Amino acid sequence: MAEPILIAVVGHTNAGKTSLLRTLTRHVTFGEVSDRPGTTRHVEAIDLKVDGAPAVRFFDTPGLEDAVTLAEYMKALQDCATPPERVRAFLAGPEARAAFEQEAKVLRKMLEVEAGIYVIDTREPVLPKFRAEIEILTWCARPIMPVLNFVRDPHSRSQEWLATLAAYNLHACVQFDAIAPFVGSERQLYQDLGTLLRERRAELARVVEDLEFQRRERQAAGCRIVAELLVSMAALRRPIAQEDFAAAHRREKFIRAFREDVLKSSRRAIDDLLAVYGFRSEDVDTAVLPWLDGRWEDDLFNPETLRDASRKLGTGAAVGGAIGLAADIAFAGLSLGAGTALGAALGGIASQGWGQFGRRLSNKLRGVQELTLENEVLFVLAVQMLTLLAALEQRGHAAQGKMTVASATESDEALKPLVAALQPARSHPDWASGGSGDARRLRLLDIVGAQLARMLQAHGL
Amino acid sequence: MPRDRPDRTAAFHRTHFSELLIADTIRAIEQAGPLADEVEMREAFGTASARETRLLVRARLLGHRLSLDRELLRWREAALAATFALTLLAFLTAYGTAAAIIGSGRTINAVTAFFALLGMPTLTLAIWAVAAASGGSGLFGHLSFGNLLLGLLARLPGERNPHALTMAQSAHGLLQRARLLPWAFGAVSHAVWAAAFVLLLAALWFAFSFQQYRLTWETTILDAEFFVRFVTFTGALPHWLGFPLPDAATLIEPGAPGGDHRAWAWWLIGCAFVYGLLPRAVLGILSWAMYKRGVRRLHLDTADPYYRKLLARFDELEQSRVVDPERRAPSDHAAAVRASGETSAARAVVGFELPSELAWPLSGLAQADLLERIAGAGSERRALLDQLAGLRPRVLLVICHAASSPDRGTERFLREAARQAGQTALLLVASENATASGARRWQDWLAQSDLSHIACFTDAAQAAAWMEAAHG
Repeated sequence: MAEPILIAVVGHTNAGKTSLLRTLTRHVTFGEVSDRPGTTRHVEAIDLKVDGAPAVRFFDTPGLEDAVTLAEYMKALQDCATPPERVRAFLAGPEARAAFEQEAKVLRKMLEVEAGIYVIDTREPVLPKFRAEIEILTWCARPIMPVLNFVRDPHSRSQEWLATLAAYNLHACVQFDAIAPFVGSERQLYQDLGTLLRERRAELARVVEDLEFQRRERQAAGCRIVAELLVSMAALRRPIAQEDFAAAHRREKFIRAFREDVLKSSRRAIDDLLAVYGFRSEDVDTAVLPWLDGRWEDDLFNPETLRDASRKLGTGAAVGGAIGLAADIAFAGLSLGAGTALGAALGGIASQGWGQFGRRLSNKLRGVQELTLENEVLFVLAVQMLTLLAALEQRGHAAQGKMTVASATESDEALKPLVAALQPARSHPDWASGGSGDARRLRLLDIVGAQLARMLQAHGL
Repeated sequence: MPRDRPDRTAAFHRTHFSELLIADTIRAIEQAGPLADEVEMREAFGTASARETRLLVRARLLGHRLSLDRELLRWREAALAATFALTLLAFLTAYGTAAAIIGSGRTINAVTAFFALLGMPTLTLAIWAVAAASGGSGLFGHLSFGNLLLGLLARLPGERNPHALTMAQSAHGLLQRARLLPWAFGAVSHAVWAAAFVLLLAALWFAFSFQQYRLTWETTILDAEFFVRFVTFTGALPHWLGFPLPDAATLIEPGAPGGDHRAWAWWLIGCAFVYGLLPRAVLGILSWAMYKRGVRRLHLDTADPYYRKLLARFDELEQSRVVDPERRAPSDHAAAVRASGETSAARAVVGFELPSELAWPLSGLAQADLLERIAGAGSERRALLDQLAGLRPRVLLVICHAASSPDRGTERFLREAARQAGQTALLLVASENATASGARRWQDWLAQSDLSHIACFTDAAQAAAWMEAAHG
């Protein structure tokens, strides 16, 4: 493979250079990101690899902090026929190691690379210092791709910036928000770089292709995790002896254990999702926070939430209704075969298979009750997992600050068929664990996973 | 001289399939809980760069630790023994069938011999075809000889690996997912049947060569015409390949003297060859080719959550490197604050790099001897510093935009301006609904840049009070 494309990431201090690189390289721990100005004081290289081989080598540079003075200093330099010579003269001079050491690092790198990505915090007003920055960077005579950061911020001044950039002949630029949804910007960045670096176009196209492939695979994995959880939970079925069921405290204990199992499986799925998306629990991300601090757990068996879900599912006030336990809040979300009744409404009795009748008959004879999760719980679980999945899909890795939770909560119409598709699992208690290699279970996982993927894609993810 | 004992694992020959099998087995083992794999992760990260290869190397290293490669080697040896046993079985079957046909007498019932030769093999072939059509799953897949063999391998006596059963299940699952089960098992069973037919044909040829037999047919309810048609029909394909066909006279009257028994015998051999050996040989080669092709195309399913998790961990191991390290420039600014005696009684209020939409002057701060706002261009800065140098105000209030990031350009200006004034303070103004974190950032920055003698305000009224107090 050819040499990697060398690209320097430059910009004013605190514009979000390191954050951008974290997002671009999917490397959560790269560099140091903080609010403090001048956090990065050295030049650090990181590769973006396409199937093991470095395709793009990014250089994270220190911020340009004193461009106004530097520009005046450089303009005063004598005997410089061209702008790059002026830059070289400055780098050879004494101030490149003294007052402007940090800026010298940036310019030295700019002369070595094939292109520069100029990161702009668009919340800043266009001041003379920024114009001086742009001027100095253009002196390096390298193609520059401006990246407008924080464009979604209410204080963003993108239009002012676009006009200023155009005045310096920088017409192509990418809008980007390091801490908010990022889908699509990355692709555009590489495509636009392709117009600046024509001879590197094929390589950049390959990068785009690989990123897209990775994204699809990540998404497929995420959908599979959620599908696995939903199918297992739909299949979950616990027998309880009639006399245990009659004794309140024993029943309560049983129900608590049942719910704890559901929560445990869900927690495992959440951990898996976070791991697949390379999310570390130290990363503070408000969009993901509800799944880190366990807030979602309170929702899952909350009678209010379930009643709401019941309304959305169109099953009426059926929470626990089938066995006359509607008033028993402690029982919310679990039912004695009521899932079957609802399942009949949703998926048709045939879709659950006929094996259940034999089992129910034998249970009846043995005096055993069976508890299952109601469809409302599956519904709420599906909403929770989809929202998390969407949040993970959307977040750039740099999310350091707060971000408004763009709730990707599915429209109820899309979720109804999903819950219906889960019904066949109800008649296979053995499907509750992942160990079951039943081909029909695998097929159901594929179906549910595909439905989830379609829902995400409907949101442009 | 001590001889090195050969390392059993060194003899283990890695194939693409064995790599995938070990990876899948490790995956199955880790379903119960992750293995401690820090060392293996690092080694795999260091030795390979392609994503899939890294996963395979990690699995190989873990597999070695769990002796999965040793178990696989054991399987191979066992499979070799099984092949030998099967060949023996094939020979015995062939011998038995041949004995049944040739029997003790010198008369052979040709049609019965035909069915004895081809009945069982055709039935098993049909079962295989059904299994192949259903992709190896279903009842026939479970009953298949290969499946039984796999289960047997996992329960081999001797020094058995605790994960042997998992590995057998993985092998089965791997082949099934790739729809290779009928081809893999087919290659074995067709080869065994082909070997059986070769032996059988040899036995038949030997018997017919050196002993004289009379081939005939018998019936109670059928007429002679049926046998003529049966033999011509079944013999058509062998005849096309060059096997002689008995003439009609011999067929109608097999017992008659001068009947063409040589042609009869060749018909039987031809049928065994064309309907017995040939399909098995062709299907055996086809199965082998299909299996090989399928295995070559087999890849790790990197969209599997398990592998995605590992890939995310590999990504985290990716190192960046510092190519131009930090060299802290010696601080050349000694903060020199002018003594108050040298300053005039003037007050100066300066706006520095403020957003243009901000109202100027700020309310409550309009009374000053010097009231100026600059955007920060070099010429503006110089002019303003000259003015300050001329005025030498006792108090100087510099107003900056709280949301902007402080930088060395600001620091330079602040330092030089403060040098011309008795006391300097910084007022941070925020646009509406700005956060407090912006102001804190400036305060931290002041402390860090040795500018802590400059007071910092976020409230215009406080700054005005400070000016009053400092002015005295």
